[in-house]
Amino acid sequence: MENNMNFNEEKLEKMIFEAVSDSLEKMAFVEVQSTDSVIKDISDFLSVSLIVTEPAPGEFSLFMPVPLVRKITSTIFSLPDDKIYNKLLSDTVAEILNTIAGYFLSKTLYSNIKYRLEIPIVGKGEANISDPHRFIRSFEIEGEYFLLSASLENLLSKFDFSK
Amino acid sequence: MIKIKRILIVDDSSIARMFVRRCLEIIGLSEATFLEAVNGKEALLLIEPEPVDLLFIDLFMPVMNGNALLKHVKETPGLNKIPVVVITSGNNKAREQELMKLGAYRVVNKPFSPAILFSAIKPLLEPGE
Repeated sequence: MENNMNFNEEKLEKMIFEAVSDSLEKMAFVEVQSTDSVIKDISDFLSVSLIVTEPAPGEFSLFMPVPLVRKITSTIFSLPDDKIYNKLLSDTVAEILNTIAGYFLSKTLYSNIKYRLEIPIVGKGEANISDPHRFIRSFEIEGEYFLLSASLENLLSKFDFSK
Repeated sequence: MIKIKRILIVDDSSIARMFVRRCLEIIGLSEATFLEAVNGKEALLLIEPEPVDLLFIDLFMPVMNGNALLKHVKETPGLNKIPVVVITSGNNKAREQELMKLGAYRVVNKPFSPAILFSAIKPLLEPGE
């Protein structure tokens, strides 16, 4: 059982990484690396959360430093820095998380299972780093680190790890 | 091939609409007139008086979703020739086939890049000068 859980966790890691890297590479032409670096202070990060309501309750959160979001936004929309306003940054992070979550669920759920996501909510968030039930991973883009946090325990039985 | 002068992008997310527009500008459609709508009902108000040359629709929208809009467009004389590209965040073959049966020109799954969008609509674009 423990080996099976380890296997599933490896697959989960791979699928999460694929969702994050594919989404950002296609949207913003940036290369994403997975990292073991521990990000201790996210208080100044832009955060966005998104609830999964179907097929079971779950949640995704994304925490990104403002300079990284600014860089991504500038790249995606080809905007100079003085044209990038706060709402645009928030909306960009929300759309990135929406894309990551949708991509991950569509690739990971059994093919006959549909999913439903709520509208992303932007705000200061807590990564609940100490919560052992949360899936938390750090990533890096050009020296800037960001976090994806997810509550997936209710969804695990619906994931097709054979994909 | 058709000359693409007017494009309508339908999505309840302003960022998603901006992103589609930006991709289309990158692939050479910056001279087109871009219209935007937040749902299917608003889209119909824009295209019924004057059809567009290309329509991008998100699948999941409030008020009138992408499925319903696609069906309406394809069943309406005067609108049914408009190529409709459906954008979806689900990578679901069965749904894709269903959308193509309803008359979608292409189904594009998120995440997509300008190159992916170009690949989807390439046959519609006029040869470059």
